[in-house]
Amino acid sequence: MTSFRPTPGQERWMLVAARAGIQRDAAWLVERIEGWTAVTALARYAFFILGVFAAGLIAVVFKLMSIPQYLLLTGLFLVAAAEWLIVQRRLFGAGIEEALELAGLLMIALQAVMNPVESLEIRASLLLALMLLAAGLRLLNPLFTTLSVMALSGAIYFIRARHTGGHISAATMASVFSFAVACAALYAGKVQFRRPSYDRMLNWLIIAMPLAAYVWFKAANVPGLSGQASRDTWSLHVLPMLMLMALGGAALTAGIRRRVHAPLIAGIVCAGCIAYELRNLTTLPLKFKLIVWGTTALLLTVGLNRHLRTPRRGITSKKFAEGSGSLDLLQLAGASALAPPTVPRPDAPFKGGGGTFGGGGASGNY
Amino acid sequence: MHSLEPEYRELNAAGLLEASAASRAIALERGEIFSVFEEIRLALYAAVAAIMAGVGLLVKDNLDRIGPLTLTMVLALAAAGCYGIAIRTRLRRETRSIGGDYLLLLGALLLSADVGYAESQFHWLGSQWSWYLLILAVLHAVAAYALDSRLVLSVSLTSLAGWFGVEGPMQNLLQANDPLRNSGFNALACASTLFIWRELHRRLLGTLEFKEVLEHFAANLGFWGALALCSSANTRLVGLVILILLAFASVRKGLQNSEELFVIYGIVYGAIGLCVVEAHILADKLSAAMLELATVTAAVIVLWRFRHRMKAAAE
Repeated sequence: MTSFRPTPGQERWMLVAARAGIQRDAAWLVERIEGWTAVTALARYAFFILGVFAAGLIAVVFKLMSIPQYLLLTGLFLVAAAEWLIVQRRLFGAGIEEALELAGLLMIALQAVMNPVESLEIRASLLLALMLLAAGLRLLNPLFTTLSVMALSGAIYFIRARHTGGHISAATMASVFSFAVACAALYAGKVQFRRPSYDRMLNWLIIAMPLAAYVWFKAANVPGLSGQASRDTWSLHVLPMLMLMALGGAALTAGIRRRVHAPLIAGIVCAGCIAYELRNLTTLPLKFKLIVWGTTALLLTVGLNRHLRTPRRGITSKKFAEGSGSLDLLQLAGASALAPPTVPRPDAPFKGGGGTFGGGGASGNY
Repeated sequence: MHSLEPEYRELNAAGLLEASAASRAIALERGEIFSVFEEIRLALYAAVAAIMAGVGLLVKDNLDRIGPLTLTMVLALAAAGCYGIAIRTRLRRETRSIGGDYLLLLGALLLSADVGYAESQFHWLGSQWSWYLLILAVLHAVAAYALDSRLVLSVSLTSLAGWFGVEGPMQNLLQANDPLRNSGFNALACASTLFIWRELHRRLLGTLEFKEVLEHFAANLGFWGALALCSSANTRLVGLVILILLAFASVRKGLQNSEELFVIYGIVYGAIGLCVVEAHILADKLSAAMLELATVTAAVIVLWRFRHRMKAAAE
């Protein structure tokens, strides 16, 4: 038994209990989980937000009390509080300990780069990557490890830019690094891990790093930033397209073969980047491009959905109840966000509800 | 990759998981069944978002070459096509797929864009132009009930909120000089209307899924309204009282029905509102920050305790 963090076996039992909807307080399961506590996804987000808010307020209080090196002290206090919650209260993935640990480590990093020194940006991005990695590995949190790798790609950019003085080569280097990490994560995804959180870390990298690679690549080719003549079509458009196609194809194949969702989503991300890159293929205005591409994607997806209604080699488009309640809510919020905005008439100011107060057709003043 | 098959087998052997559920879970672990439902949903959402972004630009540009009447007709035809597919599925008594759901959503969104554009061009409603939002809300509600679509219902509720004058991102409510800041009462009126709608729906034995959508919209709009009132000096006291009452009602509902999200709404929105009020009324920054810290800490502890109480009640 360890108090440091759950063993792989305990973590697996926690995951099974969550998926199968079994109460962790059941005596049989308590023996296997040994007191480790997790919460639902929604509660985790709420605790994380409250934790970050509390961490910020502690820093404000220390600052207003004019405590020297207040960020360092706040950081140490927050890390100690997070460790107490993990070791003594045995929290794992509860949100609050993650918020405190991350905020604490970042405040320590911020204190370290407060004094203006030479190559501040390199030091800051490296420290950020290091602290995020420490938090990610300590808490087995895939978001933190992914952000750490992204910060590292930023550090590579700054180091390269400092040594060569060129924006293009530095951003290209960061793009290549991100792409290499995505490929490595996709390859490593076939390894059988006992600890589920290692899988989640790789999955997040598989999804996020192709996008990071593409964003760095686009940054390398911003004319205003580079100040250099744009390169030929091959290196500017064709090469990244080929790379994204290869990665997207490999990800889709791996996802279908391994029956894993993350590579499939990575394939969709790569397809989105390719579609964006192909936007200048025609001279159509943006609005028509959006409508044509959107309609094409919609029809293809509806066709795929129909095709997979009958399972094909076990793959189906039917829904399985695997705790997607929060995604259902997110979908409803997303549908509301797509609603077209109110079209105000220039000659008539908006009067909510037809009246000055209350709405519901009320027209009298309150 | 990892497989939880041994754990599921052990659970089944211990009698904690029924044989059918265990065999289903094991089939999923082995990849014998693999659902791409979420990937398809993501792709459908992205496609509809792209189409609506394009339509938004099209409407905004006004298209002198095409003309408003042609554009209105084209949008209406496209919307009718989407509705037609959903109506045909309904008449055949078939279950609509996720693809059909999003086609219907696209139809509803196109109809919204079309009616808004037509009103801005033809001024059918004269000075009462904002009533087109209420007309849309009613049309979408009828379609949502007739075709059993939660997505269309959420579009209807958004139109209704727009008619009440509540539109735009939530953070705008807390920004100084934002017109939405004065719409706290409108948001509360909209939330009250949704609450009455939800009661009618419940009494007429409507579906549970629709009731949930109405409750979530009503809760969020109510809390946004209360927060908006809390951020303004003239209405702070009223806002605070409404916020506390809403938080209490939300937590009570969550605890009674084991709906965790309503407990979270009550505590998180309540804590945010209290912090806003504390920051405004306390002149001393240190005192305000310490009180806010105490409020957030209390919110964490209370949320944790309520979580435990819900778990205990569920057993």
